[in-house]
Amino acid sequence: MAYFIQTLIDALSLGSLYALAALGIGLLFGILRLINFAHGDYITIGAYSLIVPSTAATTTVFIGGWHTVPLILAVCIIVVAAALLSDRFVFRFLRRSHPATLMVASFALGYVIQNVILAIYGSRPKSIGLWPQLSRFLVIGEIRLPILQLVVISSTIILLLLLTLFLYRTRFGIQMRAASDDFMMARYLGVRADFVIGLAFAISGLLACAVSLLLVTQTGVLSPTMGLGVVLYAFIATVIGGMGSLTGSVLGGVAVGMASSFLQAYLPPDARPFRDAFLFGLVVLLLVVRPSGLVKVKGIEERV
Amino acid sequence: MIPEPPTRLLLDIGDISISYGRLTAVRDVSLSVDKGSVTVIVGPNGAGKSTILQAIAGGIRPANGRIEFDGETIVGRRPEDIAASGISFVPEGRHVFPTLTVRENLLLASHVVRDKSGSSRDMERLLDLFPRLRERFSQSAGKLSGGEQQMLVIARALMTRPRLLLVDEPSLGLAPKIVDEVYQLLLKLRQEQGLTLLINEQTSKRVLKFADTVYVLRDGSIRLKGPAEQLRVGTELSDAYFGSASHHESGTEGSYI
Amino acid sequence: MTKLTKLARSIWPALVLTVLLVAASLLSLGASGSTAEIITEMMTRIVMVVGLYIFVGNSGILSYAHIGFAAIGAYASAWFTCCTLPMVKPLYLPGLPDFLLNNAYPFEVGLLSAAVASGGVAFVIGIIFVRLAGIAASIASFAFLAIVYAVYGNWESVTAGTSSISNIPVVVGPGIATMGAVCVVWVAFAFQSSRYGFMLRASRDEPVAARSSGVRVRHMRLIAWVLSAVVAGIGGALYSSFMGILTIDNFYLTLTFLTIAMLTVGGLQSLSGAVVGVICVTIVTTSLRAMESGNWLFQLPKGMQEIGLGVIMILILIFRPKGLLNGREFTLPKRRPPQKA
Repeated sequence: MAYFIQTLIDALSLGSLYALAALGIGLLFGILRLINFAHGDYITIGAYSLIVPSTAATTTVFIGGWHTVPLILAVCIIVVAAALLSDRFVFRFLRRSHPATLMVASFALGYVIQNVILAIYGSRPKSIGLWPQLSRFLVIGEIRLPILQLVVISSTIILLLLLTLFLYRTRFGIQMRAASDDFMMARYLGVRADFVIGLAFAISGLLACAVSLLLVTQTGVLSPTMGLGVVLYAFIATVIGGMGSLTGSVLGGVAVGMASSFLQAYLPPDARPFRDAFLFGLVVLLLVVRPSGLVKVKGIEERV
Repeated sequence: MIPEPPTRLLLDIGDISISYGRLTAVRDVSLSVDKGSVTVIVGPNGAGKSTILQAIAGGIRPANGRIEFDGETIVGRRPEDIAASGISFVPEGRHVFPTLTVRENLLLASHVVRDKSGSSRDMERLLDLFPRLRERFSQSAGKLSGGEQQMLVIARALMTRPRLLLVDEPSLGLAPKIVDEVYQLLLKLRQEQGLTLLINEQTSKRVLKFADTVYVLRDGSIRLKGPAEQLRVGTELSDAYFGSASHHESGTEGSYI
Repeated sequence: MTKLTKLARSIWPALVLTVLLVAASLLSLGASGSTAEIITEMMTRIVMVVGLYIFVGNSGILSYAHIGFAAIGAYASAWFTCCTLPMVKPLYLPGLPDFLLNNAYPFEVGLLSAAVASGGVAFVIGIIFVRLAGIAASIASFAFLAIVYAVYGNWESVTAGTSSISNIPVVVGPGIATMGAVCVVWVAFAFQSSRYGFMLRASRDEPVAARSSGVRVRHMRLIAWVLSAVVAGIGGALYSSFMGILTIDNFYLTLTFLTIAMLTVGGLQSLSGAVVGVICVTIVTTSLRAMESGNWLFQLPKGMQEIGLGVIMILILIFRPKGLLNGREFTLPKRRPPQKA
């Protein structure tokens, strides 16, 4: 029983991380029809901003040594800047392009960012201890719950609440939702395209920032492909949840996290390495059976 | 100094041509709309009517020609800027925002006006005019019936307080009774607020009843233009529409382009 | 037009490409070993990219899966052709069946097994895959790549997991690689000139009409899918018998990016574009690499090669989205009829 609850919290924590990442991706897809392969690299940028740039094996902590609030602010500013710059220098020129072109462009962008990080910081994974005070456990009877996981879950809930408030109660949120439904029509009604897109990238960046901080705290390791690991599952989550639906992205993220954790915990040891293969296989199956995802909002097919 | 008489021309289009790739949809079209008038463009499917409205609203850029709104050039401006200048466009196909409620659909359009209390009054008035929308106020727009959605998109367009309202085929897919309601409403607004209307339609009879000026568009060019009363009688309208008259004289006073 | 001209016009692109490839291969004669290696590697990449093109160019659906097929082909070939030291095989790959463990087969067998393996897998998943369209298909193809990586990375008894299979006999040099490239160019050309190719491209350009003739389109897509996978698999086999060493890491995102970049640069929609794209990107990356090591004009910081390639790809997508050749093939210039006075 204790094992089950621990696995459950572990699953929810992982699911929260994937949900946040999936939300970042889903947001941009809804408004721009862009599948942003570079999203994982925003996460990586956030993480690496914590240390001083150098290829040395030892890490010199930079922003990572600041107090909590300035630290979070600084990393957020850096990641949001990265997101906005990538729109300014890449995606802005591709506004009327085919979604496939956008996808390839984001693929290329991610590749560039990854290699820039590689060039600056070297390829060796570096260790970093962020907020070590969160590594303790909450002990209830037989159950040992890592505080960090509880923090991940609660931060995610708070962020989701804030985002929901923004989208449903503020004027810009309504504009974003309208643009996501029908971009051109929104423009015909006076919604400023560049502003809404910039907002989407900024929020996407904020979400990436959250993921990067939580990820670094959790794993204690920096590597140039760390964002990729999360984002691969986040893509699956977006697809499962239904591309273009934010609720779907969140649910998908939680579903993937839970499936992954439970598979890991309860699969026989021989089959465990193939957990990923199972997961991806499920995705393909789902795509065939229900191409519009779990939460059926709008199809990704163009209307005739 | 003698003051200039106020211009009556609200929209002036001169010789625009619009192409989609190699396909020319609109060829050398000129059109003028007077303030407070109801101008209707009729023509069969594919004639280019929607393209013209989209060009005015900023969704498509003409290859050449000019479009002037109240004396100012609007070609090349962004759709959202054109909306802020006072042109509101209702495209065909009832583009409601399906995941937003009726309330949110209307609220969105008010953002361009930037007059919160004024907009709430506007909304109240519109809900009076469209009681069915008041009933459905908190429902998602995607769940409304076709007629209700059409009313919603018109009400929504009116929330931007336009001087010129462009409507693309308001009667498409709607029951005749509802179409009449919609037209009555538009006429009422024209009378009360001096709203200028430019409307596309395929069917001509109903529209001729309340139009001031009619343009007939076929294959991307204007075939016939004139005051509605004069075109109600006689055959030039259907000839131009269906294509049997090209350029020949007639006893009535429509002008041929 | 004489019959000869007519024939020449119809096969012109393939002819031009053949000449181009043979000329390129001649660069390796008498040149240093590293030049020969660069040429050989380029030719194997041409095979892989042409494989990718057969599907992407004709169906209009972007696939991330093809390096997965190259991996399947590479490993299948290695299973048959390995190893130069016979006693090593049972130690590395204990999971292989006996007839493989105790024998090392010649390269032709490896090539055949690569084609069969990748084609077979492509056929099985293709039946499901061709039901998807557009972005959904692309995402599914990405999932497939990830599955191959996950499976091959963990199936240690048969693939050595995340470490490498080495001692694969190296039999592929510039000559064989070029022959392979030329062959697949003709295969691709034959396909796109065939009825199947035409119909598939029609469905790409007119998706509405395509949807209403649903079953036929799926049929065509499956053929293209399997053919492209076979070609990619052959590319993998060439790679494995060229490098002599095989790691699953080489068949994941980096190579996928590279092949897609090459195709994008040259132009997704033409065979000539695919080949030209590979050649151009090879020239650029080789130059950048030389500049990185300081042998050339000036010293570039490490990593510029990859960054440079990414930036170039983005620029092409912005300014010339149809690729350098703008989606066209090499064509024989038409002779104008004499102008009337």
